[in-house]
Amino acid sequence: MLLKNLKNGQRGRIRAILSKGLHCRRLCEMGFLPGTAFRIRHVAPLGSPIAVELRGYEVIIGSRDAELIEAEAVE
Amino acid sequence: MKACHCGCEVEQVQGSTSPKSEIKNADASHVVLAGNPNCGKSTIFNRLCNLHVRTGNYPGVTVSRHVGTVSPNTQLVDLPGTYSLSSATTDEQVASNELLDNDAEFIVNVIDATSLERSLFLTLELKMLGVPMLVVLNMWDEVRKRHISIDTAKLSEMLQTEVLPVSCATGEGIEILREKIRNHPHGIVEPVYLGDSAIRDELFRAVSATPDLYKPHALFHARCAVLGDRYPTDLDKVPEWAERIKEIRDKLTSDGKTVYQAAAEDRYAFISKIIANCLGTGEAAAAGKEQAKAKGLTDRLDSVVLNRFAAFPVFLLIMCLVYYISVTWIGTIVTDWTNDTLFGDTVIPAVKDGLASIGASDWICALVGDGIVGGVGAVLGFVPQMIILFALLSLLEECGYMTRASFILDRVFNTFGLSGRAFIPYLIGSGCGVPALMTARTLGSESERRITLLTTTMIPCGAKLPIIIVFSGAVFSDVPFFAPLMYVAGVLLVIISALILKKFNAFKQSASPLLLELPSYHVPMPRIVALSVWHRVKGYIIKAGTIIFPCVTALWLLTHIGFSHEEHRFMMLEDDQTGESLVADTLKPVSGIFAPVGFDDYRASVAVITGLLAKESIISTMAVFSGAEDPEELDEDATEEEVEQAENTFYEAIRENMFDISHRGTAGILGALAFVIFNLFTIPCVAAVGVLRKELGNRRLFWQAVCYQLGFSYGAALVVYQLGLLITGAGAFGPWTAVALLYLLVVGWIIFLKKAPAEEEEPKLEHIPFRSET
Repeated sequence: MLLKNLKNGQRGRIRAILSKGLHCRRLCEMGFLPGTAFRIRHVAPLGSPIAVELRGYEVIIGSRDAELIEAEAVE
Repeated sequence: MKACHCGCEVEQVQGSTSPKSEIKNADASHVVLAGNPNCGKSTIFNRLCNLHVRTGNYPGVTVSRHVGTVSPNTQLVDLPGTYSLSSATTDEQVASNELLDNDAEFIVNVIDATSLERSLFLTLELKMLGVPMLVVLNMWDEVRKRHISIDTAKLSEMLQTEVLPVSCATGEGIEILREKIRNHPHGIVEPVYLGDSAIRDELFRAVSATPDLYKPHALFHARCAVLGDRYPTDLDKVPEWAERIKEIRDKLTSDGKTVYQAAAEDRYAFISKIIANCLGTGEAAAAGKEQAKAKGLTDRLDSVVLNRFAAFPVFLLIMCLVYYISVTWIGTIVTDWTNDTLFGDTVIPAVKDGLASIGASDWICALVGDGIVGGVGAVLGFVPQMIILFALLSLLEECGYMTRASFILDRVFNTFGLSGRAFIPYLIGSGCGVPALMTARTLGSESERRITLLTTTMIPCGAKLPIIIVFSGAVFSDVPFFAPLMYVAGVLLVIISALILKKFNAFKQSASPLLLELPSYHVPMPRIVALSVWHRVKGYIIKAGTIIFPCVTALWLLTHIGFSHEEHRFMMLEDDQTGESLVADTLKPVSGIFAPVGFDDYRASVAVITGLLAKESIISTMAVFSGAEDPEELDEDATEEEVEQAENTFYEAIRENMFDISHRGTAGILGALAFVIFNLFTIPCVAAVGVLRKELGNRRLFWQAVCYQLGFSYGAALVVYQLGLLITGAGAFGPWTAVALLYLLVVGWIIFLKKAPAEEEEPKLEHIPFRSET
């Protein structure tokens, strides 16, 4: 499922980045790579953007990016 | 991405396109500060250079260039904060240009030591440049507080670079840093690729195939070619080099990944190795607890501030508070004191008396005293209020709240082509448009910047408030909440404008996708807040001063010279004879242009023109025409009755002279409404227009912007007046009513039906050629 479908507070692991373009590059450089563990910290009112904690820092990603990340929930 | 967080004023660096020619001493060395946004780089920069900082402009782009001197022979350039050196954004292009084209001799890579893992990505890229480097582990005080253990020796060994812990907050390590910068090693070092050995070998094979001209940064050029960033196109002509690059690309993409993903994976794999070796896991449990405690405050605050339901109310509360303090409460007190007491009672009379005592004629005294000093003084009168507003905003920015506000608003703003960060200029615009326009510089995409620039001044600024208040009393006293209604109208018109504008080519680039860090809350440093306020206010004073001064003089002369009817000759007129001035004479025949919008009395036209100078002049002009005293100008010891009476006379004069309400009835009232709307939402005062020109950069775009604002506000006034006449039955359906309806239809068509131009994936960037290519 996509990152944007995960709920607030859930932990997950990234499975794939679903784009080939500029967004893909930006995401990869910021550390969103297959196998990366993350946690959803906040979801904005209206559902977007989403604050994600990964690799030791917290980053906000917009809905467009959240739709490009395939992830699975992890306990 | 933050450009410059304090919104420094930007002036075009004179003369050349190569910033290196600024260096006065040809032997001065060129050191560069590189790092992620939010790592404290700018704070370190300010600490190292104290106030010896000059801000210029990178040619062709609106990114600020901050240059400072650490010592007479050492120049330090603060690069924009970047996460990598790819050509993805203007900031990053600018950074890589500075590093390559301007021959950086020494790189100081500032890292937020509390986010080591992510920060090292840039470090690894910088290592490929082959420039001597020093890694600064900033926020060392935080590292200690949270009991994070970093093995600096091992880190230094693995990075093959010297590592220095520093704290920009406490100043620890800054002096050592300064020494190291002053005595930095010269010459080139071996570029280093930290990653998979197979890829490294391939890259170095490409390096050895590189012709001598490009040898200095050969590894970096190879990297750029592999990733699809710009590199010297000459290299394509070397067959061996091109082949090596192709092989590397094929290898990386062999399992269907994009080349960037593969490259990033390689890099992060190495970074993970570094983290495993250098970041202490021994005290993991204790560290975990301490870390949890340290982040506790941030989390607790965020659970309220970013709560799905509480977020908006909290935001509105904070914004209302800021506005209330800076504009309504303290702001008004301070502005009134400056305008009335300081200038009105002290400075202006002193100037006039002084001039009179040296024998200047009456009209010179009036010109200099009332006109120039009065006009410029009105502008400066806003400064105390602005200081308060900027201080509050800077506090919010520095403590970390602004990022959260952008987070909350982003989705809402996306619907009209803007990102969450765009709310800051609009907020500042409620105080004054000049600094608001300058703040638009910090927005992500060019389109966003432009839309914001064109619409920010539609939010009623502090100077427009008197207009709202006077009309609320004079004409609309029966309408409850007239003032807030005008602000709501402003917001609506901003939204409509944004929706219209984004359908056109100049604004088609989509708003920067939000990809920001959420920094922890921390107590803002007074020094940074003060610097930020100083930069913004300085910009306002210089801009307003240099533009207002000639305009005030010109306008005063035009309103005080005219053909006197009594004496049948050109002469200087008294204040109350404005009706006979040149301005009035010129405007009388053409004031018919405002007939379709209901205020074709020439006095209204004159008020509009004086409003171009400063919006509050509209009120003073109307007072002059009414022959009544502006109630604001009465003596302090006037009784309440006298004030009320003055108000009544003034208001009545407005109703009768300008809008003829007793005869025209509803039509007059609608005309007054149209007048208010036109003046509130048309082009801003001269100072703001000047700033707009600067910020837009492009002359054609500027004139288009002016035409748009004039046309849009006229159209709004037209719709209000004509359709108002029709609906209230005060007027019949006429040609202008048809025009008004047509206007509404066109606007509606643009918003709902016209398709926006196709979005581009890759933002278009100007190709800034390599020095060796030109």
